[in-house]
Amino acid sequence: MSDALTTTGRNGRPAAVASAGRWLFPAVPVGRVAAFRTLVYLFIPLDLLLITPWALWHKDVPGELYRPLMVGRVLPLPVPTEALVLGVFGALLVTSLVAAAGRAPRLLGWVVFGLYFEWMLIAMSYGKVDHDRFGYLVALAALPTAGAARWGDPTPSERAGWALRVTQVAVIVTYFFAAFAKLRLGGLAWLNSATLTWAVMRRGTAFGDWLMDLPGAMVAMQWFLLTFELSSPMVLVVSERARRRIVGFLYLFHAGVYATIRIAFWPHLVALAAFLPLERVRPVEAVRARLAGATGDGPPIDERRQSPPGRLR
Amino acid sequence: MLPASAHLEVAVTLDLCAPTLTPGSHVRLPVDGSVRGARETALVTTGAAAAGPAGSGRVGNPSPGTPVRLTRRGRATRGAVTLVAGLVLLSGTLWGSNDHFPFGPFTMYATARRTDGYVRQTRVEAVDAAGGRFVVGFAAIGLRRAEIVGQIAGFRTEPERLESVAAAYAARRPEAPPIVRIDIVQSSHRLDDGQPTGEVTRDVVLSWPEDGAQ
Repeated sequence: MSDALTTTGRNGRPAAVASAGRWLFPAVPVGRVAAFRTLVYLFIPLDLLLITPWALWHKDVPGELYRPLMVGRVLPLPVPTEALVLGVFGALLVTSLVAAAGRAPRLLGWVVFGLYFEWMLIAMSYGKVDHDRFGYLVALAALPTAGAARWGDPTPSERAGWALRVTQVAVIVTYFFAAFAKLRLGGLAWLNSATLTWAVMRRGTAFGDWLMDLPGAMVAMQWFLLTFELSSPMVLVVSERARRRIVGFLYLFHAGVYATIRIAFWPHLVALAAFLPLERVRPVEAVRARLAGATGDGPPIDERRQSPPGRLR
Repeated sequence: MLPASAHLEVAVTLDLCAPTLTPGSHVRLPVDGSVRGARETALVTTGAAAAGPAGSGRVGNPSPGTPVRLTRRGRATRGAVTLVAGLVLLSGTLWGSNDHFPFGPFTMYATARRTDGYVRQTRVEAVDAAGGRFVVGFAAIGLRRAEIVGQIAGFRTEPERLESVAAAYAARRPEAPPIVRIDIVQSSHRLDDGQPTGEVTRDVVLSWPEDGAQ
C-alpha cells in the first residue's frame, strides 16, 4: 500500500504527504460543488427571513447596546444603524440569489461572504454569540475558490474537492471542539451535571419533558453526547459508504435535539450537506424533462422506468 | 496541469448508491480522493472517459471534461490557509472566548449545571405610560432573551443602558404607549438530584429607573 502511494505520489514526495494531499484535495465532480453552492446561497434568504429574523430586529436597537466583538473592534466596523442593517439585509438578499444561480462565482462569492460576515457581526454583537454556523461560514469562504461550476458536470476537480473538504472538516470540528469546550468549562463534572435538565426546563418540548421524567435519561444523554463529539473526526477517515451513514445519523441526531429543546443548527445542517453526492440531485433537469415529456418532444424514455406490465397509463 | 495525453489515476469508491457508468458523453464518476475510502482504483484517460457534456468549459480548465488539478501554488496556498485557520480555531477553543467569533470556543451548553442548584429563566417586564404592567415580548425590544442575559452585567454598571431598551421598544412599537419602567425578572426553579422540585422564586434583578418602586 505504502509502496503504491510512494510511486504515485507527485514529485517523489513521501507517501504520507501525497496521501494527505490526496485527502485534502480530492477530485470531486464539479457538479457537486455547483449544487452545494446553490444550496448554500439559497439558504441566505431563508436565514434572513425565517431562521434568524431577530438579526434584523437590531436595526431598532440603540447603538449603546452594541457590544462589538473583537473583529468589529479591530477592523473597526461601524456601529450598526437602521440604514446599515437594512442595507446589508437588502444587499445580501439580492447578491445571494444571483450567486445561487452560479453567476460570477468568485466575485459574488466574496461579496456574499463579506456581507454575511458583517451580518453575523450585526447579529452576534448584542450580548449573545451563537455557535451554529462555523461550518457554514467556512463554506461561504471556500466556495469562491472553487471557481465556475456547472450543475451536473461530472468532471473531477481538486478545486471543488478542497472547498468541500474544508467545509466537511469545519462541520466535524464543530462537534469535536465542542467536546473540548465542555471539558474546559464544565470539566468531567459536566457528564453527570444537570445541564440537559436545565436546557429542557428552559426550552423544552413535550418530548423533552417526557425524557426528563425518565430516570437517568438526561445524564445518559450527556455521556452519549460527549462520547459522540469526541469520536466525530472518525467520519473524515472512514469509507465513503460508512461516511454517508454517519452523516445520516448526524441529521437524525439534530432532529432529536430539535424535538427535545427546539434548537436546530440550521446553517450547520446546510454545511453538513458537503458530505453528500449532491450532483445527483438535478431538480431543474427533472422539471425540464417532465415538461419536455408533456409536450412529446422529450428524450426517449428509459425502458426500466416504464410502468410495470399490466398497468394502464 | 497535466499534458492532454497523460493518465490520471483517480481513486473511485464504488458503493451501492453509485450510478452505473454508461457509455457516451454523460459519464458520472463518483470520485473520492480519500485513500482509505478507496476500494477500487480506476485508470481514467484524461479528456476521454471523464468527458463532460459539450460546452462545459470552465475558467482555468482549457479542455472541457479535463480533470481540474490544482497547481503546486494553489495547493500550497490552500494547505497553508487550512492549517492556519485550524490552529487559530484550536487556540480559540483552548484559550479564547465568545469575543473571538468566529474562532471562539463552541460553548453551547458547555457549563456543568449543579444537580441541586437552580434553573433560572430571565424575562423583561415593563410598565407603560397607561400604567399597565406586562411581560415584554423579545421581538418588541429587538433583543433575544439570551442577549438580555448577556447584557445584565452592563446594565448593572450602567443602569441608564436599560433606557435604551425602552427606546428600542418605542422604535419597534410606535403605536403602543411608551414604556416608563423596566424590570429584569428572573424566576429560579430549584432542582433536587437533577430533577425539578416545583419550587419557584421570582426576583427582580434590575430596574429602570433605579429608584422606581417595585
